[in-house]
Amino acid sequence: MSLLDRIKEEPLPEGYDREGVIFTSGGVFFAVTEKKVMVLGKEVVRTEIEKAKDLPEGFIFSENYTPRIYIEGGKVIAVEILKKSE
Amino acid sequence: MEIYNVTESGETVFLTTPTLKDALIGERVLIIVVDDLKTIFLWKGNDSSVRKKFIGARIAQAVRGERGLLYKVEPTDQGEEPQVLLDLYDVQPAVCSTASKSMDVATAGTQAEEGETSIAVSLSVEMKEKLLGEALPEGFDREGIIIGNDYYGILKSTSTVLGKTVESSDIQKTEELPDGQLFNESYGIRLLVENGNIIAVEILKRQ
Repeated sequence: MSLLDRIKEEPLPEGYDREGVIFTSGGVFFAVTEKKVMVLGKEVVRTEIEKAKDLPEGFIFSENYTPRIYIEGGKVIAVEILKKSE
Repeated sequence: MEIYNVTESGETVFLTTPTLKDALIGERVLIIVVDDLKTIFLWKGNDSSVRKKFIGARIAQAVRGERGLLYKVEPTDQGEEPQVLLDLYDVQPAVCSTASKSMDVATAGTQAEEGETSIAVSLSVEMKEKLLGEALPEGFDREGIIIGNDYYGILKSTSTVLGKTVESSDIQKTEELPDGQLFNESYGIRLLVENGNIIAVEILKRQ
């Protein structure tokens, strides 16, 4: 099972939603994206985690986010970006 | 312009040479503070020791911390000086030091001996400048930095020098991380993005 799949299966802390995952070895950011399709007039929403493109350069900060850090063998393998549920 | 010579024992000596050029000797590491440019040059002679360079880097950051974030630290090797520094070669340095505790703070916190690996486990000067040069969001303190798979913690040390307590801090790699997940609602996060990749993740603690 891939690291991303493992993280997706981890239960979230109460009151938080997952917004993205950083894989630290490559500095790659995967964002949670919502995809909407219409099926016979009914909207179906699907949530996926995809590699984010066009990240803005420089520092990014918002006080609404909290990290969850994944450690293996003393190394940080991933950082999950969690947002308080509205 | 003030010039400080970094010594092998970890002290700094205020220099009063006729011109800046006269102070530039290959065995030396100098801290050159130019208020007009809001720049702290870390000048490293070609024959200076690794230890002096290490101490000098710490002092330069401490001086910057004291003088303000508008100041920048510019490391330069002998023979590769930027034009702005070359233009000051014939200028006479100040004859009085305005430095206060920053020089003591930096030297008191020095623990590495020549040949030790402290330099390798500290953040690079360039990365330190990049991250520490960005003001922290209001209401947050920096607790750690993740670069690649490595976690760098803020190491605080306290020393007593002739009865005066001096504190210093450095950012050093932390190896003793517990396996598993770490989550605490009291923490925030700030990302540094370059060329579409996240090159640093700062872990911030809410005050």
